[in-house]
Amino acid sequence: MIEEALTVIENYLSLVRGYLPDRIAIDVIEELRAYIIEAAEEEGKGVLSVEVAKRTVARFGAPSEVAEEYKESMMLADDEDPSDTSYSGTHLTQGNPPSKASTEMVPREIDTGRSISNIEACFHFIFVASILISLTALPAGIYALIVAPIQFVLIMVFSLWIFFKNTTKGIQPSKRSYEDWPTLQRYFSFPSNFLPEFGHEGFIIESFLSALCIVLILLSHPILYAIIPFLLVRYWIMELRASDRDSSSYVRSDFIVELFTILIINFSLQLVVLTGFYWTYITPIASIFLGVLNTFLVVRLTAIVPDLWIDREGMLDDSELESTSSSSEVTTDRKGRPADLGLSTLKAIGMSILWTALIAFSILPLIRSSNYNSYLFVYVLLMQIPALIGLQLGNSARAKRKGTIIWDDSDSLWSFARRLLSFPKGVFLEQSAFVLRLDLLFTLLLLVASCSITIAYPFPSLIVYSLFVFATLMGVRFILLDQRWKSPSTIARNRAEYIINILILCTGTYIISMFFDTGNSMLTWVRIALSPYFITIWLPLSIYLLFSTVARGNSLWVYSTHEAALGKRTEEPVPSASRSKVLSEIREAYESSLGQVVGWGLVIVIISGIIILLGHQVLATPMLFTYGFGLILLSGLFIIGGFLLITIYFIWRRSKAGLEAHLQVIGKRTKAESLLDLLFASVACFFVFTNITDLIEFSRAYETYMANLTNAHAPIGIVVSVVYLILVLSTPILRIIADLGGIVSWMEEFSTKTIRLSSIFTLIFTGLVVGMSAFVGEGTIFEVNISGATGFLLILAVALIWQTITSRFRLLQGLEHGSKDEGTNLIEDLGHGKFEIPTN
Amino acid sequence: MSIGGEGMAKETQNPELEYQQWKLEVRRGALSLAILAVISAGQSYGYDIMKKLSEEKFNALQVEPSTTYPLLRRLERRGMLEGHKVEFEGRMRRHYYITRDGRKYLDRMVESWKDLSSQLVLLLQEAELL
Repeated sequence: MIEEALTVIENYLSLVRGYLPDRIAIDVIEELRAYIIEAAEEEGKGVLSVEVAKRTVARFGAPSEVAEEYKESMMLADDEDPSDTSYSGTHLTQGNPPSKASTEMVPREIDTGRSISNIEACFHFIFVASILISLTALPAGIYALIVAPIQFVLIMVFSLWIFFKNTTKGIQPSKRSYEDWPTLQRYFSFPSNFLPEFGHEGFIIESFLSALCIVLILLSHPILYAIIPFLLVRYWIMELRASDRDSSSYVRSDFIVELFTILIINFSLQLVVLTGFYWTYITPIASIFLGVLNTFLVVRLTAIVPDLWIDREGMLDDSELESTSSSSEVTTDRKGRPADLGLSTLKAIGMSILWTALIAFSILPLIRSSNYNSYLFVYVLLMQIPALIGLQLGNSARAKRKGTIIWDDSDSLWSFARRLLSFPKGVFLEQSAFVLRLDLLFTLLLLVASCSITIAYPFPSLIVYSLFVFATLMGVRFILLDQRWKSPSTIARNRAEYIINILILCTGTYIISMFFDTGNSMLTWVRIALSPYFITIWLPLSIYLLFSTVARGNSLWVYSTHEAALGKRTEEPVPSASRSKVLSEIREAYESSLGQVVGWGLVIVIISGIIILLGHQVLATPMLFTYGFGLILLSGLFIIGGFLLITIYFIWRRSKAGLEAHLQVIGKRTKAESLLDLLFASVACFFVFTNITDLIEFSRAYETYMANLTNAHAPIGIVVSVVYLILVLSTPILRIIADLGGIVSWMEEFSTKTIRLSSIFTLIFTGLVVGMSAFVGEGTIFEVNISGATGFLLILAVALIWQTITSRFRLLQGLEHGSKDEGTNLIEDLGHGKFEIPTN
Repeated sequence: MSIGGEGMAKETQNPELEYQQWKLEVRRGALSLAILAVISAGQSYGYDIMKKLSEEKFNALQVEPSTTYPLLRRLERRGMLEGHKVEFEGRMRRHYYITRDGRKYLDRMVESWKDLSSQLVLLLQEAELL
């Protein structure tokens, strides 16, 4: 019976064979034979009978159809000549032209494909990770003795997690290798299905961790500041990877950047240990988070080691795409000629150095003090030159890799200035959205810092006037950048932006020189507390502004986009959501907004009042006209005043006639909220940073427990400051990440509740801190800063009320635009986009 | 009009045919994604994949063997899978791995599928069909 069943199957296969070309016939028949027999055995429950065989082959379908499917799949259109009829068998219907020589690629000889167990794969991973930990810990010296074992343990925990995950899911690691692979590649390759993919969630965690580390570093000893540029470059590479179709092309850059980031973190932390600065500010907390980040980076680095030999054979190279699209522009009647990228790069580097020198020479005559330190700003400028050169080289490497054709369309009619400042087309690519948003962020941070110092600094002086000018210029720049998103560029606006950038560079450099100049009348606390904050944010922005100044030379004479040149506007797509449904929901939410404002405002006033009273211990020792009571009154007045201000504003807005006007206000309010978040974060950093020592000192009662420390900073104060900072920054950082990356789509539900909770805790904690600081502020800088602290509380109250209302509107806007992505709408708020609801 | 013509007109006007054709095309479109998802967990061979997709909970993904096995070859040809022969109980089986490119494109297919299905659901909800 079995033989008869097999005969049925073989007859079927011979019919299929007749329809297949020779070169794939044997392979296909062999495969089909195995499938059919296995299927028939299963259906017959281990018994292969004729009936079962017939049913099975019938399920496979007509022989011609099966053969056709295989032919289509295995012989793709570009491989095979349709006239090839080199069939064997009885179904030869056409003439018998000779078969064409096959140009099929010979498949590579794969290794035996031995399956390895999860245990083996885990050990392999741990071994490779240990090698990397050892290599990267070497520069850390003594610090390596602490950090390397901890990282090793964490790697083992991670491997155990993967082991249990794979075992539970039944994943069998499969490792492939080829004979032509180098030995190192064969050894360092992991099974392709062993490690988890670092998807969206991993990207968000990584971003948040890096952002938190940057903030903590800013509040730590300056020894750690060198880590920040590496973290920022990491962000840049992450952005390139996320936005490019072929992310594998960034593997090597990613690897190098990760490796150097780990090295610099280890090296900096070692310096902290050696110099004994580990108790300065919140350096211990920063060190812990940097250690966590470092371990995360080691895991990532280990995972991408195999990709260093990434084989891109068979993929359409991006440069081929670029050349194809660019080559169509190289027509004989096009004005100009191809230019040399190398020469353009040299010119760009030269221009960068020239601008740096011009700025330095423009500032030098303004230096009024004869103090040597006042000239130290030149070193700051000199430090920027290597970064600029690196940026220019990186930009050129990118253009070269993409195969962009550089086109020089200059002619003799151009003015000297135009020929000097312009570059051939293609040298500088259009700014990415991410870079533009980062630009906006830094601009706002500096705008806020300069405004804050101007307001908080009690004495009129040159520094205040300079900061005022600087703040004004930054404000104008922000407006121009904002306009660049919303409407086509014009020559006038491009030139205005160019001039503003140069003025900002000059003013900012002058302010930096004043920070260095110890001979001027600036108060010491301003210099010590504020200069690191200001300088750290200024450095990357100034490098970017210098780079941008060189890159945007062309825009001084031409429009930046082709559409703009034609006078066209880019239209936003009309949302397709149900208009009436959304409108009614918006109207309903809007109707209740005033009630929410009043309700939340009262809650804030009451809670703040209670906390401040408790903090001042007035209930325990009632003294009506003490220093403490005056501050209670002042704080209360600020809060109540702020609450009344917001309420009046909402009432005024509601008095506007027409629903459309209200709906248009929604867009502005959301943008204002984003600005408020940035203001919030900046003021929080400013406040904590300048009061960090006093926040620590208020817990003097615990000094006795810390007698062994060289300085009297109590750990409780450190914990208080850090917890406060995390609470205060968590809300705006969540939103800032959403603004910058638009990646928070899955956080919509989470972020609304989290932001509200974090806002409440922040409010309570801030009230506590303000109360306590006023109580112990006598004789400290709190006396000066208390107005800033209560002002900060006011801003916090404004932010809380605002966020409560607008978070609801933002979700509804998401409905209107057909998307629930809160982050996307915030990006549109911050940059561009229209919020008018279509009238038809 | 001739009888044959009327018959032909009735056949082409049959919406059931359109439904069957649509169902087949949707299933075939989803099959690549389904196969890659099955293989991504570890190497697999054709019959094993067919069995997986024949389970009750995946019955909407069932297609004929004459579609599945050639599809595996096409994915191999495109570089998303890699096949090699393994002898098992006297028979040669073709085992497939998912390649690095396959894994990358699988991620993209998953993203596209998520967008497609969420937008379709939204459309159906707006039309109050869901």
